[in-house]
Amino acid sequence: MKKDNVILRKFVAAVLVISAIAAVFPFIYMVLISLTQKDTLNFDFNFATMSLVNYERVINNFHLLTNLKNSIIVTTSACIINALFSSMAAYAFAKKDFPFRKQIFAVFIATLVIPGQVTMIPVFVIMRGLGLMNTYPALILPIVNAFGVFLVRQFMVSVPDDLLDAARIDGCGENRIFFTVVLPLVQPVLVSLTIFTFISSWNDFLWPLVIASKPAIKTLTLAIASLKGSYSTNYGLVMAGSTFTFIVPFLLYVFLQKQFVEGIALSGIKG
Amino acid sequence: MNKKIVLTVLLTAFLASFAFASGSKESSDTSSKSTAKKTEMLLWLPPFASGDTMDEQFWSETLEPWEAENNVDLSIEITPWGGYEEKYLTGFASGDGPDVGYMYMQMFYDYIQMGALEDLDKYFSQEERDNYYYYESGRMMGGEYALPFVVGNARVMFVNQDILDQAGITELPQTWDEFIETALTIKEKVPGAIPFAQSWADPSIGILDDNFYPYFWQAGGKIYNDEGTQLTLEDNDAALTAATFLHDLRFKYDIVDESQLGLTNASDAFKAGNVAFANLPANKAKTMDEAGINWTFIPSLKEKTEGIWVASDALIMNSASENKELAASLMKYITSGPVMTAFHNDVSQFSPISKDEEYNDYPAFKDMYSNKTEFFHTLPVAKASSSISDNLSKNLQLMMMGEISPEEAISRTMDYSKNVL
Amino acid sequence: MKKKKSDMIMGYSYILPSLILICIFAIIPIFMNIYYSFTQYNILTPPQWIGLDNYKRLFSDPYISSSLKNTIIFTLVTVPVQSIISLVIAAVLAAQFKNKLGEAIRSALFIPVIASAVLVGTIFSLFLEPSGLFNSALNALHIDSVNWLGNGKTAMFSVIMATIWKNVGYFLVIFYAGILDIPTSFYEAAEVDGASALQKFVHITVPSLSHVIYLVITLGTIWSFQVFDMVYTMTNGGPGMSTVTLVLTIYNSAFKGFSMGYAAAIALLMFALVLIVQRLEAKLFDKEEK
Repeated sequence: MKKDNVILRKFVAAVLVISAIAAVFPFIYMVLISLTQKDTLNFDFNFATMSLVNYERVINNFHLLTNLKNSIIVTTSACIINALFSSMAAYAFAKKDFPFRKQIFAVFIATLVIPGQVTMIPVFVIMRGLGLMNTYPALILPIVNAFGVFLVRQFMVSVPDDLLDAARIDGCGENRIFFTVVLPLVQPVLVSLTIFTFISSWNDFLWPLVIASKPAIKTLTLAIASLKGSYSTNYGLVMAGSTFTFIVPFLLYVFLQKQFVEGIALSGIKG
Repeated sequence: MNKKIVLTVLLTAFLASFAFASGSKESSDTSSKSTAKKTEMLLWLPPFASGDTMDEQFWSETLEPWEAENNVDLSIEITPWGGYEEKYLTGFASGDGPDVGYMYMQMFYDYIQMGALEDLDKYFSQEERDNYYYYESGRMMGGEYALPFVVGNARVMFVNQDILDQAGITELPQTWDEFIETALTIKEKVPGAIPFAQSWADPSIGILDDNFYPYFWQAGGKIYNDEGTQLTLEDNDAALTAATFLHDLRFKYDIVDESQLGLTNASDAFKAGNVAFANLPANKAKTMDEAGINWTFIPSLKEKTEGIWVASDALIMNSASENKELAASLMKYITSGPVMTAFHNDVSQFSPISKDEEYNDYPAFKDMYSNKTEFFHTLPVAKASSSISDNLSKNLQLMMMGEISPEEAISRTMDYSKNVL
Repeated sequence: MKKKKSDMIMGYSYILPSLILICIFAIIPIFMNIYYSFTQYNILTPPQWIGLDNYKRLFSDPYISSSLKNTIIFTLVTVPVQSIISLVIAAVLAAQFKNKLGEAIRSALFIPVIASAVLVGTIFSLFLEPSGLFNSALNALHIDSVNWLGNGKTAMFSVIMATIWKNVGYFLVIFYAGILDIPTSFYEAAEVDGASALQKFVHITVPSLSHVIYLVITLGTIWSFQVFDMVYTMTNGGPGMSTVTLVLTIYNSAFKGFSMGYAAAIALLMFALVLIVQRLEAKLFDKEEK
């Protein structure tokens, strides 16, 4: 009996390890190919001839650094704005009483069901009307949505009112209370929200595809798509671009792994 | 205290990014060399280079004299083929479109209808027009909206002479039946060779140019009616004949087999050296030489008649351009003899477009370009041309996969066209 | 009294930023979309009213029927498979591998999640080329090469495979956290009763996770309906129409077909479908929200 269990356990462990390798291997392969000039995708690697020449080309001829800059600006701004606006609204919904509070919140929640593709064309027209095509705000602002409000509000509700009252008695202004007392208390969910926002806006494709036609404003995800589209047979080049795009979220994941996982788990349990 | 600092930093970053945002609206290249205010203009061209030359480099260097002479700060964007039409649409829609751009036939109808393209007649004197070989080909829907730029690049049947020799074939096939016979002989006598390579897995509408239209025209067909408002694939049996021919190549004769259906690039396959026949663009000639392929070509097979697909891509001027005179000047400069010679020699071989230019295209094709012009066809300018082409190519793909019959492929396309037109 | 007024002022001013953005980017667009769906609009010239023509077109357009069929097949395969795989792995890890190995496996499986769908699509396209890695591996096992992306039947399968590969890690984390929340006393009691691992899974784990399963399935369904990036990168709808999806058709109609009005109609159709499916799933899980 027990012996069977041990064998089963080892077998299951092996299966799991194989699947973990399957999850990671394509990325390793991507990096390897990016260092070569290979014509065919197989396992023959000549380590001696590997070089960074594809990266050089991708940066010099394809302006990937500009794309990197754009991705960073857009994503960082989106994270900050989303966190700020969402927590402000969440605080108001959770702790302040005002007419129509319930109804307005219901409207917020209703917008969660709307897929982005449904609003894509009207928003495109709006952006054009506002003269914001090919600008950073056009890429940043649509990222803010009701999900953040929903998520943060769940946590706002559990902020103890006594704490807030105590601060008021101390003479703290309402705004100050929000920034110095409330925000620190909901920090975990803000981190969680920021991570979500980061991943989805860094990897966002369809909206930037539609609104960013000028190379100067294109993000990294757009860059690899067009790299693949035009030079699909230059494997090394395409993989170099892909690696370049992947590095930032990957490094963030490596250093903030705990927060990533906690963030997603949090949303799963509360959501 | 710490948290306050963090918050302040974040808020500062957020505000700073907005400062960035307003700054980004300006164009990214600023030249501050001369003190006189330069006119800013935008040129969009697709990629033509194969890998050693880079398009952007070529054009910046080549157009620098024009820029200097006209005091223009010219931004050149090489627009990738992927998402090409979308880019033009969003560009024009946002007012960020180019002064001068490049369009292929399927794009013209809608842009002309929307008034997005400038009629060029008023910018070209009679003398200048006469200098071009193909100026009149750019006349469509009542105006000269296109200045033919890449003309020719005929789709011809490339033949691997070595494989034919191995199969003991001494004469090139001239008709469809002879072609089938030759392909079958090769299949029998040269087991490792692929008799006929067609890129059926390419999702772009370009596969029609290589795989279908030549045969369609050889069977005597006409795609649209004269006004360009109706699809006329069922007016005679040409479409059905051509579709059946292709269908038979796979299902009756097994000349085209399953592996072809995954091929996105027939020229890569031909370059590898084990393909006997392939419909390829003429500008692949140099590539095949460099790869050491011993090749020859057949301009056109014959069924009812001969038919050769030729390109007629053109430069266009944006009707919203603020610098139309300069745009016209730029177009004339790009299409001038010296620039075109350099382009055809260094970047990609195409036929000469003006009398100022020597024939710099591949020598073997010269005869065809002089003597076979009666069999040349360019795609017509017609409504919803792009969507209908997409639908036709998808239906033909389904046919080649064996999911629908040739009749269905044609009738479905006809139905779709009625839906859209 | 004073507090009430200041509450009100603060309340409204604090929701204002979000409210404005949501109005501009979600609420107003829905109404604009409804309007556009009754017009022919090519973005360069003003919209022209054409009444119900776009909706009539929906019924006879082969791209729509293909899109619907493909999107539904895609959802019906992807959602159950990715949910089941991630659930089983989570259960196994929680039961047997609460150690460094388990942690490492979870970390590894999560990496595809942080890559963009475009990146995953790009890598998989290269792997699935006729002379690519997958086929090299198959050949080494003496199996014939498969024309993954060039064959109608396998193309959809390939896109599904890539999507599941990318998503499993994400749902794994959610399930894992959910399982950790289940009181160990439940399992101990079952252990005493002599329950096997499988029985524990079926009778304790799954029922306790019903809330989480509902979340995973709903999220997965919404994502599947919206599939675009993967298809655009790997197959662009081909070969034939085997991988044409709803969002791809919306995009092509708007930006290649010069028909924003038609695209708007398709978008509304998709929206209606998502709502219906949501309702069905809520009913299935008995989570009616009044």
